[in-house]
Amino acid sequence: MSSQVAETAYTAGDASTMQCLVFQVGSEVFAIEIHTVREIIQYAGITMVPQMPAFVRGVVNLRGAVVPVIDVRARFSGLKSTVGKRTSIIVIDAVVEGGHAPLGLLVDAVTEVVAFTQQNIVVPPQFGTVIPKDFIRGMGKFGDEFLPIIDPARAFDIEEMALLVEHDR
Amino acid sequence: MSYGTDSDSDKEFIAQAMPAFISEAAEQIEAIETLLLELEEQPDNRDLLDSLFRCAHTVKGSAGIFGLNRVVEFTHHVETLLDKMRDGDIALKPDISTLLLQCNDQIKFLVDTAADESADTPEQKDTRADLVIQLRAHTEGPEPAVVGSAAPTAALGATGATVATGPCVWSISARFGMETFRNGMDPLSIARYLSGMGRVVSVRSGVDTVPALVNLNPESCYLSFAMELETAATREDIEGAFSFVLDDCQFDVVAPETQDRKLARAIEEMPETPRLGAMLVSVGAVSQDKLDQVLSTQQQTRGMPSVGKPKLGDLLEAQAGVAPEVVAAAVAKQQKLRDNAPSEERYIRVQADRLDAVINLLGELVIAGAGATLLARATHHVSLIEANLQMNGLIEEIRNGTLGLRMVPVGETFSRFRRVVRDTASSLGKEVNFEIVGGDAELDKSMVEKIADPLMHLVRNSLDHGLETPQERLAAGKSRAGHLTLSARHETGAILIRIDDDGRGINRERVLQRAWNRGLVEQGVVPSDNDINMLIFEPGFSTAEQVTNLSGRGVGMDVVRRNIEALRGSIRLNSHPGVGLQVDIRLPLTLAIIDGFLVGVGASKFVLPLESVVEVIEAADQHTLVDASGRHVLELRGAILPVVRLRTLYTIESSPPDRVSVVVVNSPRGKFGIEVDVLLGQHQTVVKPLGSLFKSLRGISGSSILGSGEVALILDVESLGALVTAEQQSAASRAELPLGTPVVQQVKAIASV
Amino acid sequence: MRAPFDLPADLRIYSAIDTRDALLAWVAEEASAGHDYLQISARDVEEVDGSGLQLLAALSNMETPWHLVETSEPFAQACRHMGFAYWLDKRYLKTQAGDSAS
Repeated sequence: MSSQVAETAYTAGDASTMQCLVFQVGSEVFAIEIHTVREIIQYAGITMVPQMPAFVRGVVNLRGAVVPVIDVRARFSGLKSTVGKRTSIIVIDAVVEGGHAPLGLLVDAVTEVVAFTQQNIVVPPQFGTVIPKDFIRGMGKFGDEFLPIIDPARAFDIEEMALLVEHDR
Repeated sequence: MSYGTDSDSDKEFIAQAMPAFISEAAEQIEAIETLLLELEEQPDNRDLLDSLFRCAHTVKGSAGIFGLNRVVEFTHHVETLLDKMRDGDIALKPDISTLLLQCNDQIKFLVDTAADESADTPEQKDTRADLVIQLRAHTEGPEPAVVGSAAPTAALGATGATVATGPCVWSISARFGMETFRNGMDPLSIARYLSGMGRVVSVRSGVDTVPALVNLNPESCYLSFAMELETAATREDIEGAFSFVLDDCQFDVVAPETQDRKLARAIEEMPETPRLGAMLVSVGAVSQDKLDQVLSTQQQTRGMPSVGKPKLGDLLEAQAGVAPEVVAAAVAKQQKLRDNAPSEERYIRVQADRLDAVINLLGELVIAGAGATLLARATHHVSLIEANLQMNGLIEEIRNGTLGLRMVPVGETFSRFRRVVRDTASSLGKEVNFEIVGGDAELDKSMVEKIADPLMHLVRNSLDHGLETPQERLAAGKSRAGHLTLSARHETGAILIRIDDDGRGINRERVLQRAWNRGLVEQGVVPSDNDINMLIFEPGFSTAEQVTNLSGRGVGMDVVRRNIEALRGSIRLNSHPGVGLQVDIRLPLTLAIIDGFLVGVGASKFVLPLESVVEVIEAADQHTLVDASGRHVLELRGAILPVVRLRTLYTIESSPPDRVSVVVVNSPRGKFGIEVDVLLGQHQTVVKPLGSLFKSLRGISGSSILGSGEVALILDVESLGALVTAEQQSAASRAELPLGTPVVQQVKAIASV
Repeated sequence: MRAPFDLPADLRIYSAIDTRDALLAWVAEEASAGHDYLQISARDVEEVDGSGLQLLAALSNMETPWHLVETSEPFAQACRHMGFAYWLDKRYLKTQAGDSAS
């Protein structure tokens, strides 16, 4: 079994549960803390921005704000995702210089909201995770499995992605 | 009456209000510096002097409310000096100007550390004490000779040693603020206190300022009095009577021989009262009765055609004994009001984020309006279409007004640099003429704030490394003083800020050597002149020795360039060794609703800034040529222009149309064409920046939301042009033609290969 | 024989509201009684401050004119200091020992 370590990775502060949004990317399932999520929108056309690497899908109009959309599958695996019936965009509050800005995450489906208790969250394993360990806050027990709980500040670090964009050209 | 100690709620109020005080005081302090520097150029300008005094007075007053005694005390000394300057007793000479600038710095320190007593180090205390000594040295100097035996020659008190040569009569007027009672103060106590200082020649309270009993709020204060006090006390002592009501009370203490000057000043400070007579009556220069008499005299003579209508001012001088100086001030004020130049511009403080919210809503309004227009057109309903047009017209007007709210003239920021230039030049032993040109050019407030530091750094750089010492300059056949110009002007869709100096320029050999030493350039490789110049922006270029106290401090030129690029701007250097350096900073006006021209390529839509568009050629096939290297060019009335094909540039997949169109645009590098699938017409659009994720994107300066909700990308004509030129250059070098060969020849030459 | 309005012993901010109300009520009574001037007595006044004097200044701005018929030393002094010495009008005041209206 992947992680025998019973250490809790999540130091709750006041709350003893972590509410997370569960979503699918390709054949993998992930979770993300709900407090960073602003909203979830259905995929309805994205404006492609030229000369971008695959993980920058484009931009979308969110009630007057132009929000960049990251293709999460491409970000994690390099493979571009194909748009399906349940394709959605999770809009999160990303940290940018001087505050926050919305950032869209293109995923194949959003399935449910789950509350992980402190005991149900463990430290990610040293290796064997499908995505870089740094991107994961912790592993949440979900039935018989453990879901990686994404740390958006690391997984979708604007600075880092911008550098990748620059060097991709 | 006892002056109570602060209650808890008072303390809370003070804690909450402190940041506002500090920020407002900071503005006053900044204004003081600007005014001082302006005064150096125009030492006789009364308006500047008065404004200066008012700023200091405001700081002192507000500090008084907060019980910030250190600020009050120190500022008081400064005010004393300023007052003497206002009275004409002291002239503004360079040493006094320097002293005042230093005092202003101290005031700034005191305000900044107002909340934290422990920040006041012994060194600061020493500095402050020293400044006070210097201030007193000026204010306690021998009094100038004054006409009239009642002239006060009392030396202002050093501790206890007041040397009075005789009492004199002071005119004291006070108007107490509404909160006076609520703040625990009593005008009667103050009047009593004053009367204890000497002999009250006269005192009169005003009843006109008090509401009728039926309307009166008994706990609000509407009292005022005017007193003539014969006393040997100093002005400081007299004003000391008001030290607990500094902010509540408008008071004026005037030594008698400047009575006329005081009146003249009161006139200048008045809000609009255009009628000459009314002005004079309201400052007490003449009584209403006298004025009426004089007016009727004026009336009588009016009916006599042979006599020119006497001027009211002359009559008042002659018949009512109003001093000429006072009349002159009133007339001047009248003229000022007539000229419609506001003697004080009125501002309202607005929270920046509220303004942003309004502007965002406005942007959505523009988009919604565009959407409505589309729908209206589709109905072919004439009156609906017209109504829409009218609405859009109004929206456009609001948009112009609102956007203007965020724009501030760059001159405000530029003026801050005067002090830096002055002090820096002086400490380097250099003489500099600093000029600001085009300060009216406006830029979005947030951009102005972000550009200030990089500009400051570049200016310091010019002073430090560029401009030579007077001796060096003379030896080089230049003028003794160096010239440094900071200018701003608008270009299409951008603002160009230039720092121009006539110093030594960039020493390319030294730069190249250093670049070799640091491995920035391969040893032995000599890049182009321009590339060598730009090396100074490479990180790791400046060294510890290079980084002097002035231009260094860990802020290297690489940070300057990064800051400018973060604003989607660009920086260019134009250096002439021995002659000077020009630094050009180009900043796009990103925060805007621009007029654009919409085009389509495949399923994508792009917007071109309308001001760059020169002409459009629909179905341009007959004009486009392909040169031997496969590059697209356009023949237009005998000229050959390079063409950028968006389809290719942005690898847009979709079948190309049968016919293409070309939009001819103007860029700083010249005209070129942009090939697109369809032309979609003019379109007003809100510019939405794309964010740091896209900062390396070339050719696109932002995005915009169309009426349909689609997002269109806004093309950056300048960087598109750079791509084109790059192509040209490489094509030319491939054909081994000299750079600069006209395009026509290039194409012909290539075609003939 | 009409009675003047007696200003209270404490003519300061603490009693300003009460004094104002009493004074206003009295003014209304006098108006309905048809008197064309008002008489105020400061005989009882021991403590005065600016707010107290202000009440009388406000009274001056009412329709019916008033004058002081009696005064006390503290009140008179306050008037003189504040610049309301003209309220101590000898034509109306009952003279008191040591009182010198200006």
